Amino acid sequence: MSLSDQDLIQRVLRNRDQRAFSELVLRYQSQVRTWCRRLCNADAGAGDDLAQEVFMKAYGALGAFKMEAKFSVWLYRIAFNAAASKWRKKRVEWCDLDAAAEVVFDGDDFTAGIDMRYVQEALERLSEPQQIAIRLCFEDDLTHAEAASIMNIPLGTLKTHINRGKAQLKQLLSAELI
Amino acid sequence: MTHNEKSADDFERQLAQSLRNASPYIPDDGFALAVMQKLPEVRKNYTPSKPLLIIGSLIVLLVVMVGLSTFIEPVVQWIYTLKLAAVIHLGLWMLAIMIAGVLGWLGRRMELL
Repeated sequence: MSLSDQDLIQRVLRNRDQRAFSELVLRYQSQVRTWCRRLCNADAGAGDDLAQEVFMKAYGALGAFKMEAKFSVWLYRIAFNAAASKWRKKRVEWCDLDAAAEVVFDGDDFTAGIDMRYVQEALERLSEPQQIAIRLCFEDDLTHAEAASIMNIPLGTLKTHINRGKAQLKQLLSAELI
Repeated sequence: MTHNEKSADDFERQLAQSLRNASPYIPDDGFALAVMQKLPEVRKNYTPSKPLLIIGSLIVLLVVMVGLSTFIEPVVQWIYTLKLAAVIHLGLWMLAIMIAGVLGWLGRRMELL
């Protein structure tokens, strides 16, 4: 029977049990590396370096982890902060609302004529905060509150990113603008 | 639920599915090992428990109040009365306790205890 995240964390905290921490790394490495690669513009090498840094920081700060939170969300937040402190300019680009006016998709039937084969290409046309917010909520299945806490932005701003991003995606995918 | 709300749900479901399909699992390929090798050495700091600290503080306080010589003089006198065989006996006991301590510590480190 595999131990829960909480049990493994307790073992690391109590005995500095590195085997327990190794189990946590194995459990989350794929998710964290995917997230870090996204933050590094799909550069696998830079993303993996960032992911290593994330796990090392997590090991050092494990005592600060609140057990009621999801461990993956905590790791994502560490990655986002590490990346944002590396590229300070990026932090603004990742979090700020776009100056552009909101896109309103006025189709009657939201799914009619939408071709999901081009969703990746369409996603790349969105602003960075919209891409990050949409990937966190739909690809990683996080709640809006969790995504907002990772990006360190108010919940309302996160929702705006999601809504604008979705509207733009629908427009791009339905009009075959890709 | 209105028709548009249902369509919006469909879109979100399709979006989530497409994004997840396009993001495959990354195999470990030595990543975890590389992380573990970079972790700092385990150095567990010993911090005595609260009751131990309180008892220790009380003993120190008592020694200071009564005077150090009151405690030391009888100990020194007792040492002078000891025979060589008794000292060796005491030394062997202390050695045995130390060996047991080391074995216990090793057992805990290797997670046998």
